[in-house]
Amino acid sequence: MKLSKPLLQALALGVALGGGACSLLQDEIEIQSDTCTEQEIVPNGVDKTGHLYNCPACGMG
Amino acid sequence: MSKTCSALACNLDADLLSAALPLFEAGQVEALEWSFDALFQIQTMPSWFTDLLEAYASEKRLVGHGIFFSLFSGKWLKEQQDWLFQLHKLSRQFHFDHITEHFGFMTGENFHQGAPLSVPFNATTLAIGQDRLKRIQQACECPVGLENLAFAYTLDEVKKHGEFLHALIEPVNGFLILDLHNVYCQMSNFELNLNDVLLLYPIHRVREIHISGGSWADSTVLADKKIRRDTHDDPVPSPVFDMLEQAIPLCPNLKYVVLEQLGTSLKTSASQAAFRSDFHAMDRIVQKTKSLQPKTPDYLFLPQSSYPVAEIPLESPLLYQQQKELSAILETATSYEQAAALLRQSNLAQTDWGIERWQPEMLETAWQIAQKWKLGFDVHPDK
Repeated sequence: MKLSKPLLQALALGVALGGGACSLLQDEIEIQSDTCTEQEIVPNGVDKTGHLYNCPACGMG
Repeated sequence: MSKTCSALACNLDADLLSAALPLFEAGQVEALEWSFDALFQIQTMPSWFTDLLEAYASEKRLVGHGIFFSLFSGKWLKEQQDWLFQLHKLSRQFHFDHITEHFGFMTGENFHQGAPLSVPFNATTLAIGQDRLKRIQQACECPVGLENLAFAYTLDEVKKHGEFLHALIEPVNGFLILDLHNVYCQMSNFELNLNDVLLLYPIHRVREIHISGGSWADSTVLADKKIRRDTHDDPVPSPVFDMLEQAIPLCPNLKYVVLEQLGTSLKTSASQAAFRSDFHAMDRIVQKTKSLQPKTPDYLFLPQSSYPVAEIPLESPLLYQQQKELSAILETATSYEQAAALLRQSNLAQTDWGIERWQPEMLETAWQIAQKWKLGFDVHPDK
C-alpha cells in the first residue's frame, strides 16, 4: 500500500528521533528535537518509568 | 475471497520502525497489525504514528492484536473492564478490520506482568472464554479472533487445542489466527508434522496467519532434547516458510499474513536487513500461493444473530485460586524440581489441570517462561 510522502517523511523523522519516545511523554505532539529534554529522550524505547515501548506481540514464550 | 495481504506487526518501537521504513517507502506493506494494549501508561502517541495507523485504517487494512486481556482469568479484573473501555474508544477512532487476542491466562499479579499459559479445556473455561469474547466483540463491533498458543504441557493438549478454539469462537462467529511458528513449536516439542496439526484445526476459520522466529532452549530434564520457544527474537526459520507455502492454499478465508519480530532483536543493520528479507520471502509466498486458495465469497466473521451477554461477567473463584497458586509456584520456585514438588502438593493435584500428566520438560519450560516474564517488560533475563 502506498503511503503519502509527508507521512513517510514524518515517519522517517520520528524514527530518527528515537521512535517517538520523546513525543510520547508530551501532550502536544511536535516532532522537534529541541522540544525534548535530555531526560526525556531515552534510548532503546525505555521511558522514565523504565517501561519498554517495544511491544512483545506474542513473543512471550 | 478478495485478497490476502502481506502485513507487518508494527508497534511504536524505534528499531522495528527503522527496519520497516524501507518497506513502507516501497509501498510493500499491504496491512498493519497493531498491539493496541502494549502502550500502557502512555496517554498520547506521536501524531505521525497515529497518522500511520489511520492511513491503514482508512483502507480497512488495520487489525488490532491484544496481548494482556487474559481471556481465562478466573476472576474478572478491573483491568479487563478498563481494557474493554480502551478497546471501544480505539475502535471508534481506528475502525479496525478485526480484533484478536491470545489463548490462555496471564501469570503474574500485575496486569502487564507475567506470560500467557494454558488452562484446562473444560466447561468452566469454555464458558468464561466465550463470555469474554462476547464482551470483546461488543466493545469493538467488528470480527473477533483468537490465536493458537505455542506452549502446551502435553501432546493431548496439542490435539485438543484446535477443537477448543473452535468452540470458544462459535458464539461470536469468530475466526482464528493460525500462528505457524506456534505450530512449529508444537511440532518440534511433540514430534508432529504439519498435516498432523492442521487436521486438528478448523482451517476454514483461519483469517490470519502469523510467522516469526524463535529460539531453542536446553532441557535439564531431557538432556538430548531442545525445546522450541516462541520468543520472536530471531529471523523466521526456513521450515516455517515451507509451512506457510503449504498452509495458504488450505485457508479459503485467509485475509492477512503477518510477520512478527521484536524490536529488541532488530538493533543492527544486519538484523534489520534480515527482517526485510523475511518480509520479502513471505510476500513472495503470499503472491505465489494466493491464487491456489479456494475461490469463496468473502466471509465477514461477524455474529449472525444477537447473543446474550450476562450483566455480570462470568467468574470461577476456584479457577482463579488455582491460577494464582500455579503462578506463584512457577514464579517463586528456585528450580524445576522444586516447582514439580510444590505442584504435587498443591490444590491443582488430581484436578482437570492434569498436572500428573504434564511432560517434565514442558513443566520445566513453563517454569522458565514464568521466571522470564515475572517482572514484566522492565526486566527479564534476555534484556
